[in-house]
Amino acid sequence: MSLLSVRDLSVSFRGPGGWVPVTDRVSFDVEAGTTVGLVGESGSGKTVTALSAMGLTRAQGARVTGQVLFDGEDLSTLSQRELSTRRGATISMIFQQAIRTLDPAFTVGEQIAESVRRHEKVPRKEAWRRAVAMLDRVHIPRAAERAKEYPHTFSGGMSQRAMIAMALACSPKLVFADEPTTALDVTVQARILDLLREIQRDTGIAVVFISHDLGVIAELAQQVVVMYAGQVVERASVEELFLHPRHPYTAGLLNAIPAVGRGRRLVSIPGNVPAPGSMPTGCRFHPRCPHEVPGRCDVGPLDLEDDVRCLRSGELTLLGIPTPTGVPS
Amino acid sequence: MSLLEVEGLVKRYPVRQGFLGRAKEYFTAVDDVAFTAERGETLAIVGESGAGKSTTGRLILRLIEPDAGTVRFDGVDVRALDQPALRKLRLRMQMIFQDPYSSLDPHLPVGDSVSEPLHVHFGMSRGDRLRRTAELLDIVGISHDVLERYPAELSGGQLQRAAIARALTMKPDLIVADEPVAALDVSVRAQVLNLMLDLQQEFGLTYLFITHDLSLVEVIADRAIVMSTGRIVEQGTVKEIFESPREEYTRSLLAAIPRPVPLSLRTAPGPVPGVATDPTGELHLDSVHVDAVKD
Repeated sequence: MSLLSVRDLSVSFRGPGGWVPVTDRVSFDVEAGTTVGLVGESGSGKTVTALSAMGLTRAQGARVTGQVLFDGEDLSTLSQRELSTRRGATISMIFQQAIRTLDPAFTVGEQIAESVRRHEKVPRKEAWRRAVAMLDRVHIPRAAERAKEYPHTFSGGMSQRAMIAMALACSPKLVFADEPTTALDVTVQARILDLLREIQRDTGIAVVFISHDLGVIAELAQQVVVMYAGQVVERASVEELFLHPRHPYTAGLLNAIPAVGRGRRLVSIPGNVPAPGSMPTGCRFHPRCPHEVPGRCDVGPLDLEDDVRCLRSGELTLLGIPTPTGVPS
Repeated sequence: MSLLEVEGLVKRYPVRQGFLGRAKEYFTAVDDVAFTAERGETLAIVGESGAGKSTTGRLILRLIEPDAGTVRFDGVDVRALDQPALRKLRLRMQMIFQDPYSSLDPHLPVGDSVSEPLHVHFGMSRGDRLRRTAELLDIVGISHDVLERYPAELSGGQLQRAAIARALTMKPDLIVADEPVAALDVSVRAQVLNLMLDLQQEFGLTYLFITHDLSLVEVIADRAIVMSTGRIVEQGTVKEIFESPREEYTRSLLAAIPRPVPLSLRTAPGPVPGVATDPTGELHLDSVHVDAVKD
């Protein structure tokens, strides 16, 4: 049994003219100790899926259907009260802008200690000791002193480390990491990715890593779920996905990555992600797809079949990265 | 003659006040920076946050005043100009910023933001302005209905295109682009970089492209300057920087580029030899050199 199994998760938000569907029957599994990359452009529904899996969109009045099975328990049937005991303790989240997620009015140590005490009955002193240990664990130098400082004294990379320390303080089994390195310098990003790999190796935590950048996904994930316009369009192992993408959108994302040795002129995906409430009929990607066939791709509902949502996937040969022998070292 | 010649550029900020409020210690944000940019080329300025890249860009346009050094633009000593002359020269030196959501006025329709410089500098009528703006929007590839819409209604990519259109209104020679695609999705990033390459061909633009991400440099630039803690540590053609980087710092920037190859498929994984592996290795203000200046 998978640690996390998201089944047909659909989320709608209330708009001026009624309910607006934002995600459509999103399904994927996460095995214990592994990393699943959730990839897609802004507006594809990645974050909403993660927030909904944790029960956070329901709290904001969204209409959520489907199941979220975590460790055999259906989180979607739990009350907010029950959910809040799970969040942080068994399932946790790291956000993109750590500096805005930390409370500027409390020291970093206090915030981590508080999240420990929220889930475990430990004395204040013990919680503080745990907070310092966690900061040390994420390689913040002079952790005992830095714990007494306020978030504004932390650099971008350091506050992301502090966020990770907070998310992991109660040893959750799974963490959603929502673009945790997008706002950071490339060099700092590389170190945060190293840290996540190291923690996963040591603790066996499962990670759902959300990113718009397949280059970053390649650094961490074993399985990849590609989302477009609120739907899953492809699911595959990271190797399969990079070598033999089956959906034109996946191929487009791969080709858009500037990579050393590729040289000038990137292949971009023309156009924009459609807005919720104005989704194209048929394949939602067809208006941007170079392989679109009028009369075929723009009609009828299109389901995920054999882990890909494209009528033409069987007849297309899409370009992935070169096969391993040709991979530059 | 080079379009842009920068020599001995210095910017210091006081960090400690001494007796009677006189600055005792300075943080040197830009330290003796010198380079040239030729007409029609793209020069990348690369480095981590705090390296002084953005400050260098702003010093060139005199958006902040240098403490020392010269900036010559098309033969004109930029530092010697009075304000009216500087304003006039700045028409030919435009800037694009990282975050298009904050660089365009949220209370103005995008069309007005783009056309505002035409009003300010040339006193063009609203009709003429909107016509010219529509032409520019065609050039940067966004539809005309954007003219009447507000920034909040547009995507990041559309806004950055609008910001580029605004920079083009003045028919500039030089565009200083400060992390212009850092806030954009990878797919949209490719669109905007391709657009910048096209515009350069069409209008013979010179770009100063500021970024922390060396992977973009190979796509857009001809030459690159690598900066660290306010100083230039290495400069050369893009080929030289990528194929035979001389400095360890440059190698560490190269090593940090995520490679779009799953770990299990990599033939030579792991860090590049000779690169520092300090577990955090981040730049802190307190570790940056602070020059003590004697009273």
